Amino acid sequence: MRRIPTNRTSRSIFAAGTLLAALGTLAGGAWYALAGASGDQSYGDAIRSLAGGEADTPAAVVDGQAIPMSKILAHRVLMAAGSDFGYQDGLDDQAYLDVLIDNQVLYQEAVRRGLMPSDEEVKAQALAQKKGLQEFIRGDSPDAEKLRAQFAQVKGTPYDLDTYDLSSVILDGVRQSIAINAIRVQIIQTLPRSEQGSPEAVGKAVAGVIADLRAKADVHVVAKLP
Amino acid sequence: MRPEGVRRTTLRILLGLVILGVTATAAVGVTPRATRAWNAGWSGGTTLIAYNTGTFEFASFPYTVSSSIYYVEVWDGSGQYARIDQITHQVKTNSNWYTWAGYLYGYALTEVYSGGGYVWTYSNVGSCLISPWTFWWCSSGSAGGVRIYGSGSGRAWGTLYISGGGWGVYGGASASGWFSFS
Repeated sequence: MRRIPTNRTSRSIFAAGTLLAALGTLAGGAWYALAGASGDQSYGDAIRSLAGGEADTPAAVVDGQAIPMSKILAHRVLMAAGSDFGYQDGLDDQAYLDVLIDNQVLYQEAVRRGLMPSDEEVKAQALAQKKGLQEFIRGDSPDAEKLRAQFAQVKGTPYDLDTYDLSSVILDGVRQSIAINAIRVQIIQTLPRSEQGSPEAVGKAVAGVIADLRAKADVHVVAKLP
Repeated sequence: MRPEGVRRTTLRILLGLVILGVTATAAVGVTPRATRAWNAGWSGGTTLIAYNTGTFEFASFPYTVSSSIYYVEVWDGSGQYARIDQITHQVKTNSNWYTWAGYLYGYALTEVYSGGGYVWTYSNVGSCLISPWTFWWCSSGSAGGVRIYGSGSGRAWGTLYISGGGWGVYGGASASGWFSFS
C-alpha cells in the first residue's frame, strides 16, 4: 500500500508528482478523446502520405497536368481504415483515379469557360468553412466527436483547421470545388426543370459532359494499378 | 339561336341536379368543417458534414427542416376523421451556398400514423427533392386520400446531401421529429 509522505519536502514532491500524473492522465485522456476512441489515425496517416518522396511521381497526366501518385496512396490508407470517408460502396484505385481525372478535365473546362472563382471568393469560402467546421466540432454529437478526432490528427499540416483559410493546399482544393461546381450548375441548367432536382438525371448529364471532355483530352495513365 | 322552351328546360334540369346533389350530400353526412382546420408539423435542424475524396477536405452545411400539414376535420357516416389537404416540406440551409449548389440536394418526407379505434394506418403523405438554387423548399401538394381517425401522429424527415466532384456525406444524419394530430 502506498504511504503519503509526512515531511514537508517529501509532501511537496509527492504533490507535484501527483499533479504531473493527473495532468498526464488528463492530457492522455484528452488526446485519446481527440484521436477517437478507436485510436484510428488513418486521416493523419493519409495526409502525411501526401507529402514528398516517391509518392510525388505522377499516377496520370491530363493535358500536361500531373495527378500525383500520393493521392492514390493516401486514398488506400483511408480505404483500409473503413467506411468513415464515404467509401461505403468501395472505390478501388482505378475508380478513384477516374474520379481524379474526371475532376481534372472538368476543372480545365471550367478554366476554358472562364468560371474560375476570384482569390477573394476562394478565401471567403475557405473562411466560411473553417468557421462552420469549428462551430460544428464544438458540439457534443457523435459526429462532432468523430470530426474533432480527425482534425486532431492533422495538426500542423496544411489540413490543420486553425489555418484552413490560409493554407495554399486548402485554398487550391476550394478553388477546384467552386470551379467544378460552376460547370456542374451550367450542366444542370440545361436539364428540364423537372429533372434538375434529380441526382440520377444530374449524374447522367455530368457524366455525358465528362465523357466528351475525356475523349478530347490528352489523358495518359502512368501508374500500374492493381 | 336556341328556342326559349329549350333554354327553360335546360335550366330546370340544372336546378334539379343541384338540389339532388345537396340532398345527397346531406343524407350521407359529409360536411367538411372549414372552420375546424389546423396545421400540424415539425421543424428542426442539423448539419451536413461533407468530405471530398479528391482534395481530402471537409465542409459543413447547417440546415433546417420543416414539415407542415394543413388538415380539416370531417364527419361522415362512420365518424370523424381528419383529412390532410395540403403538405409542405422544407429543407433550408442557413445561407445560399451558391458556390456549392451543383453538389447539394435536399429531400423531405412526411409520414402519418393513426390507430384511433380503427385500423392502424400508415401513409407516406409525400416527399420531394429540392434543388438548392431554386427556392429551397418543395410541396407535395394535396394528400386528400389520407384519413386520420381519432388521434394520429406524424413524423417528418429532412435530409440535405451532397454528391459529385468527389464530394460525399461524411456525417450528419437526417433531421426528424414527431408531431401529433389532436
